[in-house]
Amino acid sequence: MIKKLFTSACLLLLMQNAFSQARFFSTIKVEFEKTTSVRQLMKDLQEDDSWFQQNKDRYPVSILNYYEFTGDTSRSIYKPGKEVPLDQRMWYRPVADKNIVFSDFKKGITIAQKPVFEETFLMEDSLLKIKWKITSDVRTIAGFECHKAIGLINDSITVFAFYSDELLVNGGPEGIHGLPGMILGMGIPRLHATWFATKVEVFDINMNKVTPATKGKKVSRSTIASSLDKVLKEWGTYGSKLIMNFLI
Amino acid sequence: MRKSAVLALLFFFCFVAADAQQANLAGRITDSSENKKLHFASISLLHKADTTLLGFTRSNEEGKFLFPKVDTGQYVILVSYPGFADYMENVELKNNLDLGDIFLTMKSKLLQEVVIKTAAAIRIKGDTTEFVADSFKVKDGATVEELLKRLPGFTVNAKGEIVAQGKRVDKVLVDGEEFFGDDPTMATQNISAKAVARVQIFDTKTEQQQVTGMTTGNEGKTVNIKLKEDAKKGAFGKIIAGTDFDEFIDSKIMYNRFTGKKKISVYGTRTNVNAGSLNWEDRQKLGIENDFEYDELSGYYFSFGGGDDFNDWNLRGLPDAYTAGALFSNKWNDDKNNINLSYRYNRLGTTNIGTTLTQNILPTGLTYSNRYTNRNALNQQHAITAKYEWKIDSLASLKIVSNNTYKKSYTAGTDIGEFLSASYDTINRSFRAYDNSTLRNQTDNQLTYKQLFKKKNRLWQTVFRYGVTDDDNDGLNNTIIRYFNNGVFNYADTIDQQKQFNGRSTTLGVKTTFTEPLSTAWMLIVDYAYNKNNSVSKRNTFEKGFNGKYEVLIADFSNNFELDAFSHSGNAIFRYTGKKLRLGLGSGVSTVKLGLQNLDNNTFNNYSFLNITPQLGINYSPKQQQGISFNYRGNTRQPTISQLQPIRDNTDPLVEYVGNPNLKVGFNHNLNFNYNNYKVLKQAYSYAYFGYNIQQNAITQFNTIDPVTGKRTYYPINVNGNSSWNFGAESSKGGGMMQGTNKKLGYGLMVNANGNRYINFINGQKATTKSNGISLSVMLNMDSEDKFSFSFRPSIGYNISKTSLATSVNNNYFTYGGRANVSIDLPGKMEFMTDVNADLRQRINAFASNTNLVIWNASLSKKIFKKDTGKISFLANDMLDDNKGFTRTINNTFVSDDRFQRISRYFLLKFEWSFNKMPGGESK
Repeated sequence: MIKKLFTSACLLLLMQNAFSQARFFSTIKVEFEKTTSVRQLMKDLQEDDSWFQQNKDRYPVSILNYYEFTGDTSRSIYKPGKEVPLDQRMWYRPVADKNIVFSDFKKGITIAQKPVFEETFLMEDSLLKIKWKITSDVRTIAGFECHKAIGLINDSITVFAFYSDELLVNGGPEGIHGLPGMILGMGIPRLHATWFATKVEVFDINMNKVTPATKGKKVSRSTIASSLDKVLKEWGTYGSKLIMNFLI
Repeated sequence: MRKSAVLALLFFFCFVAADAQQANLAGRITDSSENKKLHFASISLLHKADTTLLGFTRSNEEGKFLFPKVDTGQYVILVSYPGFADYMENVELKNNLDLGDIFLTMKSKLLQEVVIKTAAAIRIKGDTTEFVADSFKVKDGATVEELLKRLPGFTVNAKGEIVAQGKRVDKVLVDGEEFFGDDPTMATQNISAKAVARVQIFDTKTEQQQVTGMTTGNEGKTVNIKLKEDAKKGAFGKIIAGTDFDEFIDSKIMYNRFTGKKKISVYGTRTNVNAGSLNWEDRQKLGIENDFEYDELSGYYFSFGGGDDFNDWNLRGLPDAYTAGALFSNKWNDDKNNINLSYRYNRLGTTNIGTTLTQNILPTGLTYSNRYTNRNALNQQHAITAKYEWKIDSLASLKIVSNNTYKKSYTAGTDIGEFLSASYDTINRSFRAYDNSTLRNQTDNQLTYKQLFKKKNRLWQTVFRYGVTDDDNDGLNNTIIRYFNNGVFNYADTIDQQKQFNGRSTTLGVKTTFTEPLSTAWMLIVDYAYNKNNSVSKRNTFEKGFNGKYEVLIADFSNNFELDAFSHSGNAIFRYTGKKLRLGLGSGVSTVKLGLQNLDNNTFNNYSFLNITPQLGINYSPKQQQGISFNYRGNTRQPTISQLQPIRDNTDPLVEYVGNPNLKVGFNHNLNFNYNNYKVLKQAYSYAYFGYNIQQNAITQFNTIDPVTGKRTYYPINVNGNSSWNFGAESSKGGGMMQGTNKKLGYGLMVNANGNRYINFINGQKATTKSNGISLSVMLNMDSEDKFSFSFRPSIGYNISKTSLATSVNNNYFTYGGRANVSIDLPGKMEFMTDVNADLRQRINAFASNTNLVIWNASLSKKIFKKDTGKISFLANDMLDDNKGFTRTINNTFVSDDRFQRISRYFLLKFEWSFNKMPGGESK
């Protein structure tokens, strides 16, 4: 993987040097690596600190999940990628890690399949509204120079995103979008999670499979939120902080 | 392409009001050096006021771009193109505007890196540079930002952006925690510079890079601010005082203080309404750890050691309790060293008047034995626990635990017993007065060394254990038994003896466990343990000599021996951990060698045993909240020394226990099955449990009852066919909001059933008892936030027992009961609570008396002080004055009702206050 990433990054750099001019790509396939800082998350979720202190060794420091993003300027799909074996003896089980998010940038809609506990929802709604601020910070991710932007969802959840304007797809992990380029790195402090592109492919991308999931109980964004709210609120801060996972 | 960008832009404009003034904004992007038009440059339009993104577009082949129909106003335009510096300009849009050519410039080279000199105040460890904060002077009240400005190589601009060692700082951590706030300046502008111990700076790396050691050379910098330990100071505590101004008192005081990682806690209680033990929550807050440990192999906690005598569960009679304790804990050296010292003192006095009524079932008919007791006891205990843990490095750790208790108890009382024939004629009547004092000193020390390896899941752990128990008991027993013949006094027996017991037991053991991963899913766990125990027991009975002192040794009831026990044991278990399936399979083998030396006649007896313990566990979870498991455990059951060769005891002269040297080794099979399922969104929970236990060569009793004197003699004997089972199931749905209201409703149904088959012998006859019970309960609760909550849980049960001896006796009975709770929030921060517990039993033929219990409690409380930290409450306990202790035992040889005293009706006025001076806020 690393090797591949490295070669693709080198290749891109080489190409850039050779033509001494930027290249733009309109159809891409990105592998994202999501890192959840489980200990920080659990510390944040649990009101009783002594319980956390006693059990912190039972949680992994962090866990990794992989996702695959395929898209062009009109539509994209984000779905679970290769599996990472989970240490079964650890107490943590990932939440909202099997979402399949389809975005239609032209119609401005999203169709997302979200397995939530025993239920599978099929959320159909407009694209998520995010208030973005663009900063002048720059960082290179997977060989692409990315600008940093700070977004605000529902005026409450902050998203840090690094996007590359060399990629003409205006998408990102999960349902995060709306920047002038592709988001290759993202962090949501509230979820103690970061997403970083580990591999970007730009040639021979098959767009045929970029279709929405069909199975699940059809709901809108607000019904999924209210039905979760009803249950998870019962779990105190733990639950209400958990809801965010399903709403991005 | 351009079409899509425009569409995306339109999407952003969809909320724009129709009547607003609108204009078009156009321009062209050009490379300043080569004067080339740039295609695909991204042009973003930002609101000037808060710099939020309004929309974006891309330039076409000619470098041109257009934002159509933009609301007039103040904007910032941001143009970026790979390899070029960003271009930013303020734009005031009134009418259609063409910005003309916008020239972008190739990025200039980065500034030369700043070279840092090494000084005492600055340390460089690998790629981390560390600054000692106190070496850089800042004025009082300065923030971290001002401190950073003083550090060499740092620059901080007006917006709070930090550049360190020539690179932008993109992360600020506080004590290693990421995302302290949503904005790095949160930390730098809000923490006092005085609270900072060190500032570390290193390259920002992803987890991946840390693992691979590969960097792209373009990372930013991360600043880690380490706070001083003494910046984390605080204290919290609680005071409770309750009294009825006459007889009852219930009070508690707790105080905790933190200074950095040092923690000191003290507490004390004085009560005569319960045993005075601290509840789980208090123990947690005080930091008194329970005796539970984590099993790395199975991934679960397990607990060992029994509870002490100072809990409400074991309480019989009326209590009078004092407790006190203190705890100190500290962590240092990055938490690598950690110590926890605690001291506890318990003093529990109890007085109890009790009655035990027993109906004996004999082949020849029924007899009755009743006992009336009066007992006073005083138990005192000092306990000192010390724990020290040292994480030697990331792979090795050492732990020492030492538990020491000193316990003293004194018991005195009288027993009156009577034994009646089927026609209620007295067979014997006894009176016993006794007086015992016991002392026990115990120490248990454990040293654990744990070594992990670079290979994941490989683990080696060794535990050494050394324990000593010293006993010293002294008791007087004065018993008079009068025997009757056809209801007429026949003769009397008198016992007036002193019993002394001295014992010392020393245990030395070592256990070493090795875990080896065989593949990603399979693991092998092997352990070996060696244990050596030496115990000396001196039990002597004396009667009064001519001088009135207890000096004459009664050899029949005296016994002195020394026992040496050696055991070697080994276990091998294969474990499989899959995604949905988990499996464990293996067995343990142990050999035990006992050498018993009778010190009275200097005879030796050797015994040796072989034990095997096969086990199998399967756990299958098809979904995250669903699980099915099956477990089997088999183990050999060895007869104990006291079953083979017991010590004669005449504490109760009407019962005599004899040994049986011909006992065989038994084997116990234990099976259980579990199912549980939780539907989170539907809030529906269900579980079922079934357990079955059967024994080969189970050890039961061979009883002989002398019909003339009423004396019972018994010895242990092997039987086959003893078994038991139990079953439980629950289905409940709850917590969900009721449609259209803010009330929550929960309901559920629970079933429990059990059965038992037990064989023993009475007067030479084999008796088989079968007993079965079933109970059903319904649960209903309703909750309205900040208004009221209500729960109701009635239950009904039926118990059947049949014995092959006296089939005409009917001991089947119904039980009814349940509990109900109500709590109501009243205005003025007042709360009313009441609960009723009912425990009703159908009368059985054996006893005529009523054993029903209905306990009704209520309380009214009011929260006081700022933040509701205080509470005054009025409590009424057991308003019907009905509480009494009661247990019923039904066996094939007897049916017994045991009653004892319990705290019944009382009223208390109680004051509670909790305080908190934590920098981090309230404690919950």
